[in-house]
Amino acid sequence: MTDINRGKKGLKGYLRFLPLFVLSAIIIGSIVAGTRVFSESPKSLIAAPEPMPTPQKTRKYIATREITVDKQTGKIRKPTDQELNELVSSLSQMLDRPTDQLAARTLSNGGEAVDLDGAFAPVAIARPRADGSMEVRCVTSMEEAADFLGLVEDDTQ
Amino acid sequence: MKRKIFLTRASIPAFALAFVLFMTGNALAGAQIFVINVDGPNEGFNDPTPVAPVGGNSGTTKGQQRLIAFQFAADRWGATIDSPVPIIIQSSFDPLGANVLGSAGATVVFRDFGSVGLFPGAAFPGTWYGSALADKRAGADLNPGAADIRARFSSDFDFYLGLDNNHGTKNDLVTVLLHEFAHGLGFQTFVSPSTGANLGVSADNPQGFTDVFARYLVDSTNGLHWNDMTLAQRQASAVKFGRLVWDGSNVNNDVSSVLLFGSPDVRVTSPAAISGPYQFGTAAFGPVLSSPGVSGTVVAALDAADAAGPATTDGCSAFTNAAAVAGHIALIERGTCGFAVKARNATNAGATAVIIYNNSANAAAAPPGMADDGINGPFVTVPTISLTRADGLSIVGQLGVGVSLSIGVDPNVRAGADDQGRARLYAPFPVVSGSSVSHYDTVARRNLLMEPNINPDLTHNLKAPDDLTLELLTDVGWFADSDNDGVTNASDCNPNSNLSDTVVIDGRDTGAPNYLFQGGCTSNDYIASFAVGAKNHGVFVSRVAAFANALLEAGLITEEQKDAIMSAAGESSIGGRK
Repeated sequence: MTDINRGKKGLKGYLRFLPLFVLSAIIIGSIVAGTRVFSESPKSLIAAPEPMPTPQKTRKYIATREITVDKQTGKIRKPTDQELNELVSSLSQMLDRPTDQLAARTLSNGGEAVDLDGAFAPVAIARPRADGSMEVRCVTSMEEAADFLGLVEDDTQ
Repeated sequence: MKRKIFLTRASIPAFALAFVLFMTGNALAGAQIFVINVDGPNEGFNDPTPVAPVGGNSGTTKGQQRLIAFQFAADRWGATIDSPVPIIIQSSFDPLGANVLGSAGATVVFRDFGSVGLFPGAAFPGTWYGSALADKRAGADLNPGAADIRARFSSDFDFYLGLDNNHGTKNDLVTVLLHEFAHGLGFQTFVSPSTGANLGVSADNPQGFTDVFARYLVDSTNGLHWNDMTLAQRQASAVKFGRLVWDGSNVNNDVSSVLLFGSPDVRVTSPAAISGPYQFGTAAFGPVLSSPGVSGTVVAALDAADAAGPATTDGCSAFTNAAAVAGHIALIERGTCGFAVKARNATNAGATAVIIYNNSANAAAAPPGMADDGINGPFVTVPTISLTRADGLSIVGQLGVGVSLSIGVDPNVRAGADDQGRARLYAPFPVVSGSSVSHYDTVARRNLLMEPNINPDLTHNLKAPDDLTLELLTDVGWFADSDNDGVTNASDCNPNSNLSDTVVIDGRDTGAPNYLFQGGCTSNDYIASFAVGAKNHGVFVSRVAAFANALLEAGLITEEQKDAIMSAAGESSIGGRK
């Protein structure tokens, strides 16, 4: 209502010049109408998930802290080798994404688009607290994830 | 005078008309966010495992509850931001491991993408925008039918699936989704976390292109924004704890209503070579950091190399230089025994505060949070903080000339802001190449949704006075536009325009087209304004007549449509017609 009232304030003057306004509107409007959005051909609607991406290489890690809640006992322990490998694989697939090879495609107006292919997607991870609750942190790199989870690169591999 | 500029009907985006048809009779504020389930049968969102409804989530299978929680979080964002273009989140639950909760981010970025109608397009040239934000500013779907955000969550993690945030010791899925969706909506940089390189580097453009988030990151030590920095400067800036701040007006205007005074602070005051604020960890034992805190000189603690601890710097036994430590801040190396043991020994030696710096086994680690062992903690009566190994060694290296340091809180600075009231971004000094600048600093109090730590005390609220997430998204371009006509509410002549397809007067549909005009008002808005203050029915009708004639002369309506408008105005009761 505030804006409508504001519009009413100069109403008489507005009406007096209305034909002139409309004439200018046609000119300016046609200019604005010429502004276009430039996009590429429509894609089909997403129907299936993309395949899990493959990281450049998977590094080996050693677990230095107890980050696994044992499903049998409920107690906190270090992950088994298999659990560690699965965790590292999962994190690597999400966080070790090369970004320098992402190709730009040119829009028809000279603009560009880049399909990120899963890169730049921060990941929320968790480690157990002493009271059994889980502390959650969102990370953007494998190094950050390793630091939070106490994973140290295995130099012997 | 803005209203004298009109748009032709041809310039009204087709999507806007379709949107109006869908939304007839409803408020147009907000955005539609669709969660697209891409899971296969019997997995993820389709997991048939029976569960009891919980916390307002009425789903009766695990899959249903996951989907309901996803849509709930999406709707929460949809009610908070405005966009004329539906936002699509491609969503799945996959076995990602028990320590992984999930992730989300933009699928595509755009730069220099243009716009339709009154929509502004990109605010900056040569600048990347995430898909959903680019669509909003373009006023059209730049990647029709494709997802704007990809969300992948862990089917191995035991989330709380209720909608009421009553999660107890579990982790609230809705809160995590609100956080990760915010990244996908624009709370993120597209600068490489590992190299500091911009996106879009090519032989022709070795610098690449900056992104809209990076344009608001400023390094307070040199005053440079990330888009004005070299790659090396960005890399250095990403690990300047406490010095990387946000330079957007919406965030910083609301800092005072969200963040509390009392910024925790550990600061070397001399010598100048190492002076400044330090990143630190806190302890779960001993007194909390307070004002005025503790100031003093630092003394390295020495103890026997014995069974309790093999090093003379580990503080695991009674100090052999207790007399030197007394009345000063004790510096101890991490390792062998617990943090609380070291701090207790320092307390016994008469230290005024304790610093524990990482040992070589943790050389690459951030300052740890220090847990109590349940035995020694109660005997610690002085504040205890932790430092990185690099920072600890830099202090050790200056002990010969004397190191003065303060530990406490600065009562004049808000926790999570700098001394100029600008929100701090998370730029820890560790270790890692690059860091998580796409978050607020962890020292923020109250806790914010977009800190890297997704804390259990968070609400589902996304803006001040509870949070600063919406404010940042507004800074990067999610302008408030209640009627989604492309004109920001602040400059819209009617922020809640009547965008119906045709001119309707007093319930009478004239069939004449309802135009959107430069400035954000429609034909219906103007006719409504003619009614306000009309002395009588005749005045109203005469104003409508002038308006209709102008439209006719401009060729925007036909003679028949003009007659229909006049007829509807004449037959209406507006202005007091009996």
